[in-house]
Order: sequence, then C-alpha cells, then structure tokens
Amino acid sequence: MRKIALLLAMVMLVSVFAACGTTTSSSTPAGDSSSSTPAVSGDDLANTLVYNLGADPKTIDPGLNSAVDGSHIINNTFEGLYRDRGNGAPEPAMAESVDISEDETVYTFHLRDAKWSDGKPVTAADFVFAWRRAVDPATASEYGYILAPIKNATAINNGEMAAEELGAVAVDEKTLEVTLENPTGYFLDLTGFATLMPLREDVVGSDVEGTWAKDPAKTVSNGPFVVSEYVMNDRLVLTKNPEYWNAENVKLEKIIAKMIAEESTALTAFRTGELDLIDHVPAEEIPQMVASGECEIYPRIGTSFYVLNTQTPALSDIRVRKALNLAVDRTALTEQITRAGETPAMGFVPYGFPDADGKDFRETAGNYYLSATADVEQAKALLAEAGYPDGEGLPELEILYNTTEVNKSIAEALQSMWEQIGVKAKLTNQEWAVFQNTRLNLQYNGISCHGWSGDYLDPQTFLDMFISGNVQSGNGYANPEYDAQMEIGMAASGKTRFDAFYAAEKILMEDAYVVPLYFNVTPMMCNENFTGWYFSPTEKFWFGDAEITR
Amino acid sequence: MLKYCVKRALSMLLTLFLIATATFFLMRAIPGGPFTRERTLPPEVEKVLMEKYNLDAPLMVQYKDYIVDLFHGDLGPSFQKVGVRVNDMISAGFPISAKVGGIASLMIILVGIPLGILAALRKNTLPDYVVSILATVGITVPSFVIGAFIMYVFGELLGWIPAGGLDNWKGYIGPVLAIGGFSLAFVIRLMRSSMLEVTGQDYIRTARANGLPGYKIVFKHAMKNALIPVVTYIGPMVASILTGSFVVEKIFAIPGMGKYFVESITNRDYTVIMGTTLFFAALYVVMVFLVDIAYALIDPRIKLND
Repeated sequence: MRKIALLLAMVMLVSVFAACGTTTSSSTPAGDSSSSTPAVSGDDLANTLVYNLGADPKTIDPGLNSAVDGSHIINNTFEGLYRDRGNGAPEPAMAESVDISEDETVYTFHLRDAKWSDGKPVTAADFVFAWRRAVDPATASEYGYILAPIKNATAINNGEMAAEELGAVAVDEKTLEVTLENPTGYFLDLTGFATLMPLREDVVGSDVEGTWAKDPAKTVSNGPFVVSEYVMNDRLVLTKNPEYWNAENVKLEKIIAKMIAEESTALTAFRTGELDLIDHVPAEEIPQMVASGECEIYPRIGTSFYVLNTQTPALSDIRVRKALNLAVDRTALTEQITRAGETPAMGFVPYGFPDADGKDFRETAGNYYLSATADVEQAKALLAEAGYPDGEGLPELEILYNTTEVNKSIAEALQSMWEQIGVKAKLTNQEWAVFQNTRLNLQYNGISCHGWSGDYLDPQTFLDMFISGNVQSGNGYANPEYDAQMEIGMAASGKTRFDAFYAAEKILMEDAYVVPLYFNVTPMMCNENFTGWYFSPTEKFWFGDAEITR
Repeated sequence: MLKYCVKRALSMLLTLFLIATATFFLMRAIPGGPFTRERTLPPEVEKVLMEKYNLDAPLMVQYKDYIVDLFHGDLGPSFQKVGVRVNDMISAGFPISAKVGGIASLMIILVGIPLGILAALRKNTLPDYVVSILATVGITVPSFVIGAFIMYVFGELLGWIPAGGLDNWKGYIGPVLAIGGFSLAFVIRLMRSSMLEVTGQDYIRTARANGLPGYKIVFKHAMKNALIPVVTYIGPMVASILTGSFVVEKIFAIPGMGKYFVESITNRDYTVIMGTTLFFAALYVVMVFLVDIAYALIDPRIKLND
C-alpha cells in the first residue's frame, strides 16, 4: 500500500510537468518557437537582413505608432509622399511632383502610378483617409498632433470640428491638394513621417487598435517590404513587396527583425554572426568599441537637459539659474560618464538643422554665456550677487530623475558640480511613470531631468515645447516674449522663420530655466557586408536601397 | 477525500478573490497610469483612451466590472499591447516559459534529490564536499550572473550555444541552468540535511540492526520521510519556475511570459498586472494543494480529513 502511495505521488508530480510539456508542443502557433525556422543558417539567408529591433513594437499601424521601434518597421513597409533616403533632401516617393502655391500654404501633390502590395493602385483618397483617421480624436492616435500644420487639424484633434474639415482633399484619383494653416518649411519632410503614410480604408476600416498591421493575412502596405510573419515578442519578418513602384531597385528579399531586449545578448549575437545590425549597444562597452572601430556613432537630433522649476521660489532669481548653468562641466559629463561620442550642449536645439541660408542652426546660434567646461568663478560671483555668497542662505534643492544607471551618474555628477559653488541639492530618484507624473505636475523642488528627440528637421520640433502652457516643458515655463517670437516663426518661412527661432532660443537660454547637458547619438554596429542602408537623424532606418552580400 | 477536495477548492477560490482585490486596489494606488508618456498625450486623446478602457468610471465600478469579467474568464485587453487580450498574451507566453521551466523542474528533481542523498550518505567525504561546494555556488550566485556567464563563455567565446532564442535544443541549456540553478542547489542542500536528520533516528538504526539491506533502508525507510520538506519546497518552486523569469528570459531572448510580470508594472498595464498575478497565484495555490496531497501519500500519518 505504501509503495503504491509513493508511486502515486511521484506520478502526480511528473504528470504536472508532462502536462506542461504537452501544452507547449501541441498549441499556440504564435508562441512555439520550435516550429519556426532557425534565425540564421546557411544558404537561405542570401539577400536576407537579420537585425535587432530590440522589442515587440506596441503597434506598426502608421496612424497609431508613437515609438521609434515601430517607425523602423513602418518606414520600410509604408511610403509617404516624400522620403528622406539620406541624399540631403526629401525625395519624391508616392508623389511624383508637387506644386506649391506662392504663399506656400497650398501643396498640390501629383501621385505616381504606384500600387499597394495587393496590386490595387495607391490613390489620393488613401492619404485623405489616413490623415483624417489620425487627427480624429476617436482614433486616439498619440501622434495625431503632428499633422498640426494642415488646416483645421488641431481643431479636429481637439474635438471642435469634424474630421471631414481637414485641409486635405482628393481632387482626383492621383491629385492630392493639401491646405496648410501657415507656410511650413518642413512640410515635405513631414510627409515621410509615419502618421502621414497612406492607408487603405477597406483594410483598416474602423480598427483603431491597429491589429491588422501585424497580421500577415490582413496587412496591405505600399512600401518596399510587407509584413509576412509575426511571432509575438520574438520576431517580425518582412519580405520584398513585388508591387512596390521601385521594386527593381530593392535588393533585399527579406528582413528578419528580432526582438532581443538584452543589449549584451544582442552584442553576443552580433559577434557570433547571428545579427547583421544592432543599434543598442551596452553602454559600458561603447567607449572601447568606438576606439577599436567596431562600433560607429550616428548623430541624431536629441538633447539631454535638466529643467528648473518655475514654481520653486529659490530659483526665481535669474542669477541663481545662470550660476547653476555655469557650474556644469559638460565636457566632464560626455567624456567621463556617457562616453559614447555625445557632444556637450551649450544651447537647446541640437546640431543638424539647416537654417534658411543652409547654415547649421546650432553653429549659428552659438554658445550664449556658456562654455563646454564649467566657469566656477563666474557662477560663484553671480550667486554672491544674488545674495547667496557661497550658497549661504539658499534653501536646499532637489535633483529629480528617473531610475537608470546613466541618469543616476549624471545626477550625482551635477550634485557635486553644484556643491562646488555652494548649492546643496539632494537626489530623488523615482520609477519612470511616477517620475513623469511628478514632473508633469511640477511637484519637485528645483531641478528635474529631461530629454527630447526631434520628429522632423526643423527647430520647431524642439522649441515649441516651451511655449506657455505646453505641459511637455515639465517646468511650467511661460514667457510672452518667447511666445511672440515662436508665433512669428511658426507662421512664416525662410529667413523670417529662422530669425524668430534664433531670437526665441536666445530668450530661452538667457532665461536659464533650461540646463542643456549634451546632444545624443546612436551607437551602431553593422556587418561590413551590409551596405547602402540609411539611418536618419530622426532615428529611422531605411533599407530600401540596402544590399547584403554573404 | 472528495469532501476535502471541495473544501480546498472553495478556499482556493476565496484566496484568489482576495488576491485579486488586494492587487487591484494596490496597483491603482501607485502614481502614473497606462497613458503616462515621455511626451504627455493631448487631453482629448487621453480622454478617448480613458473612456475606451473604462478607466473614467469610478474605481468601485471598474472593480466590479473587472471581477464580473474575471468570472467569465476574460482578463481584458492590454493597454500596452494595443488590440491584444491578456488571455492571448498568457496563452502565447506561458507554454514557452513552462517548457523551459518544466525542464528545469525535472532537472531539479532528478538531479537534486539523488545528489542530496548521495551527499548525506557520503557525509564528510569527497563526493559530499564537491556537491556541497556546487550547491553553495548555486545558492549564492544569482540567476542573471549565471545566465550572463553562460551566454558569454558558451555563447560568445566557445560558440556552443546560440546567442538567445529557443530555435534548437542547445538553446535550452543556458536558460534551464540559469532559471533552475538556485533551486537545484537549494534542493540538494535541503535533501542532504533532511536525509542526515532522518538517518540519525532510532528506527533507521533498528532497521540496520535487523539486517535490512542498505538500499532498502535508504529508499524505503529514510528517503520517504526525508522527502517531506523537499516536497514542501518543490511545490511553490514549480509554480514560480514555470511562469518564467524576467531576467533569464531577457538574457536568453525567450519570448515567454516572465517579462510581463515586470514590464506590466512599469507600463501601468493594469489588466496585465492583474492577469499575470492571478495566473501565478492560481498556479501557486494549486501546487500547494498538490503538495498537501503528496504529504498524505508519502506519510500515512498525515490525514487529509480536516
């Protein structure tokens, strides 16, 4: 009897595992990786790119996407009116040509004879559908506001107007007329943005969750590649779209986008040849790999900075704010902490924005009162002038940041830099979402971590966050003079626009509520046999002209 | 026996209900929400999203709605993975985690228990020292170190195992060792000390004095009693290993469900927090129940009547 009992116990335990085993092998085609082909092996990888997307994108529906990983895919599965292929200016893509009215507010696009992946023609109505869908608040697109330059877009997005009032009309099947609120110099560039990609009404319908996009059976796209396989949290596979208008020049047959979240695992996979391209590299490995040439640094338009809270009484004195700015040794931050090739930031708008004369905005605007290293003497003098010699009498401040290794190191460095001029600040770190909440509601005493990446190649993508009432600023900044300059700039084009933006950034910097630290970069590792690809400063991969030899 | 099972089932359901309630209100008490973004959403968009997911209703109403759906087996839609149901996320992720975890659990039982017995029977000899050293290493070195070490040495330097993924059997080696390492070591030590305690008792000495063969003493008389604490540990351990580990799955790029436990909280993906917590809790109480039954089968002195 006892023997039987013991046997039963064993059998039960074993059967628990066995049960688990059988579920695995018999169900869930989406999850069972044993059924999918090996990622990399031998001959079948000719003309196939294997790269690391890093995560399963939240969505790859162009109208709903708001993330970088999603736009990597969308930029290769869809195509807008114009496309940045890395040749300096946006090139005609779905549009063959454009007529721009004299006042630069009406753009008439003439579409080329392009087809969707199911063979149907791409029409102007596809654009109108996609754009109305994106601005319609019922869609709840997180990036609907990017269409703001188009007439009535903001009013529609705020629920004050019907989506049909949007300033985009299909004149005929191949002619799209777009009316803008104001002249917008970056509009052609913007038409390559994910949210402005065309969509097929009969495919998307009223799906505001974007499930159609990841489903190979449903998805229809107009770019060089089309989604052919999706395994949740594991991979997205794109294959060449034979209907693409320029298909004869697309050399890659297949793209396998892996979702390896751990950077060191991706690095191992790269080194063992299982991946051809990675754009997330373990931070501690970057400096030595950049030195050895293994890793390359790509510029992108992004700024890391701190904001000073306008609600903190101790910071109401401009001399205190300038002292804080002056005490920061930006070179020390980039050379000793981040060490991936970042550039010290003495202004807010990063490098990479050409102005009306083709000169770089950042270079032209200059460094204001800052230099790449700290000016402790001047900082101390300003502090004394403000009535706080050596920081005496200045209440203790708070440095708020969200918990990551880099943020922590930066915050500690800033704390000691400010300590040198006598400003005492304690460190407060919060989990990401709590931090967002605290900063948004200005519930921090003094200083908070911040960062921004541009969406399009115009300084407005950076400067408009400091217009009065814009919650993105995170510090409650409000200055009527700044608003006035921004209003002039955003309503104009050419020199007037840039002069106003130069003036606006000067006001912003001289107000010193912003402490710019450094401009961001993207470290990248690429198989030398993979060529012709392009990574834009707005962080989008373009594989349509790429080639791989094995 | 049947009465006992029904009683236990009811108490298990009550436990799950209490866990659901506590989790629901605790997670809603943390600041931030599922639509907290690096770039704050336009108010109109946020309003639509809140309406869509029923987050604009009073908290008690949301709670009631959730519990009603739960009784229908519906865990709701994920906020983060738009358009995906939590049920689907678990049914896609769990089998993968469970396969790795199942192999790890088998390894722990089939390797851990014999090694523990071996160490106890050969106390203070070379095999005992070797096993004890290995067990100590397993307990003190955390899974992410084991994982990263295996990945670096066998994946990158030697190229014996793939850099992530479960595309062939070699892919399982790393994650199984990383996820099972601690428990394996723990079971060895537990089995060893428990076995030592039992073999020192009078009835074993009596058995020896009666001239019973050694294997009979060990397997029939000593091991059965010594297994009790080990089974107690293994039950809940299996629940936690089967549901995967965030760290191990991240290192070995396994598309299992371990990541949801951590990421759902960062994303304030309320329905996923609830779904994964309840799934784990359900598995856990079932395993505890199985352990109780196993006690009765191993040791006739333990009765299940109460």
